[in-house]
Amino acid sequence: MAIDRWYPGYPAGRGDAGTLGAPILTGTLLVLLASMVAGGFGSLLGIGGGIIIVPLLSVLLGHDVKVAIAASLVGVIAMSLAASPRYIDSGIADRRLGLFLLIAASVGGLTGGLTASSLDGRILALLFGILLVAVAVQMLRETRVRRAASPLPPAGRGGFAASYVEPTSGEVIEYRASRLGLGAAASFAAGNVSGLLGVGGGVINVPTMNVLMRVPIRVATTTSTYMLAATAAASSVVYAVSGQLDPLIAAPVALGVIVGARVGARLSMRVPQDVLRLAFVVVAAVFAVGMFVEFAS
Amino acid sequence: VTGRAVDDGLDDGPVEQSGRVAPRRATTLTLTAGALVGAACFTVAVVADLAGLDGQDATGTVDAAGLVSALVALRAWAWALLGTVAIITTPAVGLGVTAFEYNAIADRRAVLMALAVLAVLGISLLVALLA
Repeated sequence: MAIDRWYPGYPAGRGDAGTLGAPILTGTLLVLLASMVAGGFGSLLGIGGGIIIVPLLSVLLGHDVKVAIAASLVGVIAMSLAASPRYIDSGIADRRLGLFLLIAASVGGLTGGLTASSLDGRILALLFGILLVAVAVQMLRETRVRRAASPLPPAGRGGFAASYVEPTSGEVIEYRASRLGLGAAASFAAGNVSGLLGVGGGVINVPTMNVLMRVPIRVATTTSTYMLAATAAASSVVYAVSGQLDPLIAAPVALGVIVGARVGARLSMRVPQDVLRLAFVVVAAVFAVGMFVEFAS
Repeated sequence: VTGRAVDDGLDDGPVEQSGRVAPRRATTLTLTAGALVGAACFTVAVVADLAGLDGQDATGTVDAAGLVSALVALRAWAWALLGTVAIITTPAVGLGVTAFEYNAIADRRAVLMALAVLAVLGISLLVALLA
């Protein structure tokens, strides 16, 4: 894969040994298989594949962290494009709310991409390590604390009002997204994290819509998935133009994530969530150490 | 029965249960087509790469003619590039289609929101080129 010979600006160091001391593991097949696992894992946990793909590509497979982030963003877009039509067709994804939040999220994606291109890869590794620890801690809390779902307030005034049909019961659920300003601010932050670190931003979008804006969780997750494509597109353009986006890495990543996510979605009803969360915590801890080592090296 | 947006009510004004439902067929078709084209290109790229057709002869900046000949020669990098372009541009095309769909039901606010996001994507490209 001699893409560096024709792709101007492609960073040196592609395929160096991983920071965990792993042997030099390169190759399309390996990236494809790793992305399948990451996509399946991310889908099972509802956090997307990026948070696993980026450290996997950089820590284990030895790719430059910016190249890993750029490839992950293409995977995020591909997964969103593959999943969104179903959610839009079913009427569960709230496109109008999504468009409103996307204005801030895409600006965040752009600034995140620009910030990442000006930051040293080691700083990005440090930030990603911190993100991994934060998500792992959140996963542990969700495993230990079972919070009763708080009832949604009755449809009132202001905000985005809409309804959807709950597929499990056939019941028409009416809701009203409120706190639009705070929601937009959080979406900007989610877009920024997405562009900066190559993750989907769902880890911020979903709780923002569900907890802060009082949107039903099913609408929040589907609307977030719909938003991811445009958010990631805003930042991936920056990576592409600056020469950080390697299509030959993005191709197996996107394919692997799509296949893995579909398998993960099918398995999600069979695999205990607590076991998955604990497994993620272990994997995240290992990758976080790898990222911190990359920062320190 | 499908879900529907009934009002946006950005202020605290009265809710109008207008019941307008924007068509969504064109958007879903656009997104699906983009995903399929991207996945197909990536599949060709991965298979070609595994087969050793990795574009070792490609040097320097690639022009349109070089890209076409590389696609015909089943070069992995060319198909990966085509797939990447398809995937990255599809959200923008989808937003344009969405704007048309909301325009069909005269939902001006939704049209403006879709166009605003589209504008941000355009600015992203512009800023990236200038940076």
